[in-house]
Amino acid sequence: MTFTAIDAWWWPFLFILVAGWLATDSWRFLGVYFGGRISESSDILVLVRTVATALVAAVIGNLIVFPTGALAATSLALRIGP
Amino acid sequence: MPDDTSTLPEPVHSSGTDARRIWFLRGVRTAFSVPGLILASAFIGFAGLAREAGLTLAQAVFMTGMVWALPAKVVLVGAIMSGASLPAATFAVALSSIRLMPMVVALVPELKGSRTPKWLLYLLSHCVAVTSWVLAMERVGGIPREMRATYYAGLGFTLVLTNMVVVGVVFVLAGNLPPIVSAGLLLLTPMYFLTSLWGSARERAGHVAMVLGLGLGPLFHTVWPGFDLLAAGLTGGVAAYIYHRLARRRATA
Repeated sequence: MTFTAIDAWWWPFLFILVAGWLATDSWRFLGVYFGGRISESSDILVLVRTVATALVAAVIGNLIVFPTGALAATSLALRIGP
Repeated sequence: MPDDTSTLPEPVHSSGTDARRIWFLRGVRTAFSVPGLILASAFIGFAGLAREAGLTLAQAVFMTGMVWALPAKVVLVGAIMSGASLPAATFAVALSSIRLMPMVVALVPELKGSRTPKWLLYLLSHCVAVTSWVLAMERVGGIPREMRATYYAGLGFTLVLTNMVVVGVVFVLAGNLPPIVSAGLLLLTPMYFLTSLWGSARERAGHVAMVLGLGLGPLFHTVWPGFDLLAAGLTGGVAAYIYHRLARRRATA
């Protein structure tokens, strides 16, 4: 059941739909479900915000220290930069 | 960064279709700002990657619209290139996208007005990825509550649709792009997100979380690859929250 397993025009799109759309939007939809139940002034929302911020910062940290693609050719000093 | 919501005329009424159209268009315009251009440059890189992986033009554009979050797409293309099975690819993408849940949980209470329908929030959540999240967290404070979902609809869907076009155009032209150009464009991304993430923090604990995440991300990447973002987010987030509780207790004591 790989991306090229079934020789039909629709199979790659179904693959993207399940492994791509379903695997990402499930989390987003769960987020709407839980987010709709938390009051804006609630203390638990501070925790959710700090976890979300730390996650996004970790994405950026990895981007700087372990770059992919064309960025990989530049030096670490340049990426941390002036 | 210029405040590009300030030059359009002030809406006369706080509700009504005129005000709604103005706030939608302000959202659309926010998509064509510096952060929007930086995101588009990252999608130029994605189009090249998708082409290298053997995807067709239609598949690359479809993936851009359906998945949207760039890291999830890179994981998916990586799984496709390595010949992963559908369950394995789904698991890898799902694992890389858990972070979307706390991001949406934090954003929804800010976007929601008294009459915002549930289905609209579910629809809008599809646009959540780093760029639109940071932009929205940074700017919703200055937008009337009933107009926030409208504004985000303009911003989010414009970002998704324009980058589908960007991926399509670059996919056709890829190969003509000098590597040094894409390297230069990619270099802007971390710098931009660092400054705007700092500005979007709601409380001091947000700054603590950001600094911890920046350090813990690469640290966990070396000791626990695959779970690095999750581990860094939870450890850094919980530690920042504890800081928040302690600082408040000290303030009230």
